[in-house]
Amino acid sequence: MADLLGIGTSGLLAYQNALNTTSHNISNVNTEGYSRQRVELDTRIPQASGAGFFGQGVYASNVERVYDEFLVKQLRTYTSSSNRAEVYHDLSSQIDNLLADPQVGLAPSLDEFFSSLQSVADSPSSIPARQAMLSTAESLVDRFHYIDQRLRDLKTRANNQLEFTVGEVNKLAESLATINQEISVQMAAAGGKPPNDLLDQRDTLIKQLSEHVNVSTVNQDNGMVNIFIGSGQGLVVGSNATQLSIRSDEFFPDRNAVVLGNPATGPDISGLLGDGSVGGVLDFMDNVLTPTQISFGRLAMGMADAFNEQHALGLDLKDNAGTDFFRAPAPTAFGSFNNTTNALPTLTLVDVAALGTDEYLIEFDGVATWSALNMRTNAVTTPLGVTTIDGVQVDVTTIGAVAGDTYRFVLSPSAQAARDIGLVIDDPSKIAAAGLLRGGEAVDANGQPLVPNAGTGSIDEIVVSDNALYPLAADITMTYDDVNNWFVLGGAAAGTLAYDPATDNGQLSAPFVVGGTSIQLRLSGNPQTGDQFTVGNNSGAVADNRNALALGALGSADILIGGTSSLQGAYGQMIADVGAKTHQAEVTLGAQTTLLNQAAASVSAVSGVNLDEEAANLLRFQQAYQANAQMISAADNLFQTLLDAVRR
Amino acid sequence: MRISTNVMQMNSLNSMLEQQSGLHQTQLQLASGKRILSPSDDPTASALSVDLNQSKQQFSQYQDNISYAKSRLSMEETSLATAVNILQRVRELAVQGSSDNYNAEQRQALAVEVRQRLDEMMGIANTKDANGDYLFSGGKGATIPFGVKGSAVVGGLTYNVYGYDGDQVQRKLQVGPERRIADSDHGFDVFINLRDANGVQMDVFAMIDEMSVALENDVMTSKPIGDIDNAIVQMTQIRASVGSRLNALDTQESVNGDFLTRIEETMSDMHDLDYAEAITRLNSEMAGLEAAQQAYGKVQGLSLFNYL
Repeated sequence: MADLLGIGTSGLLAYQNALNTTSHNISNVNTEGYSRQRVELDTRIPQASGAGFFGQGVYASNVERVYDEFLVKQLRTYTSSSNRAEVYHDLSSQIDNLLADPQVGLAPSLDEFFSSLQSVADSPSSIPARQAMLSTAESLVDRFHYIDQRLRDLKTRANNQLEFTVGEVNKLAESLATINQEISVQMAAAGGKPPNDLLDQRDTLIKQLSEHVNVSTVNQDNGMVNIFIGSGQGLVVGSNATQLSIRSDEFFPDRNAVVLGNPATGPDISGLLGDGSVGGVLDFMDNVLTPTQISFGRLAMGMADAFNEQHALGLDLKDNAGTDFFRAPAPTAFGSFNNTTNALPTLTLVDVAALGTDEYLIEFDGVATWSALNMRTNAVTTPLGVTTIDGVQVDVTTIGAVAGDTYRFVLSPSAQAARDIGLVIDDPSKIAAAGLLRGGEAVDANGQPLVPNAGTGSIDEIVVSDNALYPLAADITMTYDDVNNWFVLGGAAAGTLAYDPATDNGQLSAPFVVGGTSIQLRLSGNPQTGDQFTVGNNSGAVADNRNALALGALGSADILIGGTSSLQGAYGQMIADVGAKTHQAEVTLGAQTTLLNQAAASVSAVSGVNLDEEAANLLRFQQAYQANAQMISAADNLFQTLLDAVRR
Repeated sequence: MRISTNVMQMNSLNSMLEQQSGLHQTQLQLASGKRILSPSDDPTASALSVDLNQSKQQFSQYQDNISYAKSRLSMEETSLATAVNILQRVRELAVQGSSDNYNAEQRQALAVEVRQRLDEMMGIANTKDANGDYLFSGGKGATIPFGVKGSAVVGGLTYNVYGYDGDQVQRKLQVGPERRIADSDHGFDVFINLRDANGVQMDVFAMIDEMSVALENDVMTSKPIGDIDNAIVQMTQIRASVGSRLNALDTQESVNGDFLTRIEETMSDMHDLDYAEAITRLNSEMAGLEAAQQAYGKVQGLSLFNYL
């Protein structure tokens, strides 16, 4: 009977435990990372007797956490990748939206600027038209600056996010080191039984860590886990946590890099962190933000340079050759903070059409040789001296590197161009709308024909390569000889200029050089021997719009990307590129979210609490408890029966 | 399969959120009337629309340039018509002056009118356009092109020498992507570089001046009539070329107009929302959201605890 009482009590205690655990499950139904628990029941050691072994009841042998390590690790992986996709998408959409807004984008300003240029061509002497053109030029420059500033703001935001995330990772690493320690102590105290709720807490922390970086774990015998991030950098080993820190990128001071350990001496692990929000931020900076800044800068640089070049070939209202209209951004390279000196290579833009969007790592080998590595294609150019790369002449000889020096640069010619572009001209009369030179039939002091010409020849267009020849010391005189089909040049020029009316009518002539400038003429008609023409300095040409027309033509001319794309075309390509990347990010995010939800559902299917199930268990354990209580009552009855039997 | 209570809740919630986000997108499209809200919705069309917008702006500018060129050319047309009228009147006077019925005194009287006509011609040649630029001075819009430079004595008679201070730059305007049309002619071609009755270069003012000198001194010959005849022919030719440029501008204007219409159609096809499709989509999305909400309400009510 004592046995009966003992067995009944064992059942009561065991089911009390089971009911406790069920109630624990129910109360934690909404606890994040909670894994449901089960009490394992075992029979107690039976008692041997002559008749064999009599069972001694039940005991709770273990409280087990229902858990599948593989599924949990899978969930971490998908958490990392979907967080990367989310951050990447979130940041990319910002640029996408910035460029989408027609009021904010560059296109309307470009259109207005070139329209106003046409108005100057319509009435070159009109000061209001010239003033309007300066205003549109100013708002175009403002628009460049505005969009550039928004892109910089996004970089700041990305940098801040990186800093915040590193702070989070550090906090998590410390918590994980502490909880590792706690688990090993608790486990030792419990004789190797796992402290389930602490394990859940640790898993939750690891999952939070995987939101920021790629995480891998290795279990230790004492219940601790060692935690590695990125491609195997130890973050938490046992109860020790390593801190991450932030420092400026080796080349770009306006860009944060993630460092393992000491911010001054630790290795830069930015490129190794893989997925997670850190990966998303870095990915965005590398693949969306920087390329957008570079192509946008190329637009600024290309426009300023091409416009200035044409503007210099014109004459302003005060009879001066055109000066710089825009402040043309200079090509840029960025030196490593490890360089021996702060010297930079001398960079000169030589060909706008050849400007690319690739970045180059320019490096001194520490002996004598320089090389340039295209960071996209990995193609290497070596040795460098004065070498033209993508339309930019790079001169490394001015640095004067000697053996033992360390020099590394990133050549990114247009990275800051959208910030650096400016407007130089503020005086409407300085717009060079007229041509530098003018030509026509030779005339005397009264403007009457000198010869006069008997033929029908005329000079329709004068093309000059630069303005070095202006002003000419004397007019260029041209006298036709229809035997040799050429003009004999005189005055400022010498030699002959071939013109055969049968084949050269309306064609641009061969170039001839005056004062270092090459001149070409478009001639037409049938001149006769002795007919004279002059080409001379233009002056007082307030109604002359020839250069304004040429400037206006730049608006639709293919001056960028190897001469295949206009300014608007290049801007359109940039929008399409950002749009396509954002669209891609959207698709990836969708896919990653689905995968994440599935992984979470799989983990939850194993470890999550189902209230109906717990209700059923509650009922089951309650019934068992009641039955065991009944056993005690039965034992009491038996005992009473015995007492009654002997009570006399 | 075993499902945890949380996942059941999350699933219903997620499906509602998804329906809502689709509904939101459609709502934005309907509110703005646009199919593409940001470049990522259709990257290719977005890039194309930058191009199309540029073309649209460009062609509108060409249309502006055309009306500008037309106004300058019409002005030149009028000036040339007046100049030809003057020449015709001068020719009449020349015919009268060479008639034997006129005596020296009467020829003097004719010369007075001829001098007036000469002043008128000078006025025409020094006309300004709407901007205040001289119409016939080429590129030197602020320089008065024609004037008397001095005099010369030939055979005992004193003649004026006329000069041209403009240049030989012909201004052109961009009126189409590949089309430039001259919006004026310089005075050198119109008034100076003419041929007289003997085929020798002579400016129109000198012709008229020579005639009045002849009338004043009663030494009228038939040469002035020949001179003026030649001048009329040459000016009429220039006038005809102005007329043909005006015609070309009209043609170009309608070509540009057609192109603008086509661009707007393309842009509308690309950007504007198909309302019928969008409203159908809105309805089906609304039905979907409603169903998800109802399902949520029903599923959430289910619990075994209700029966214990």
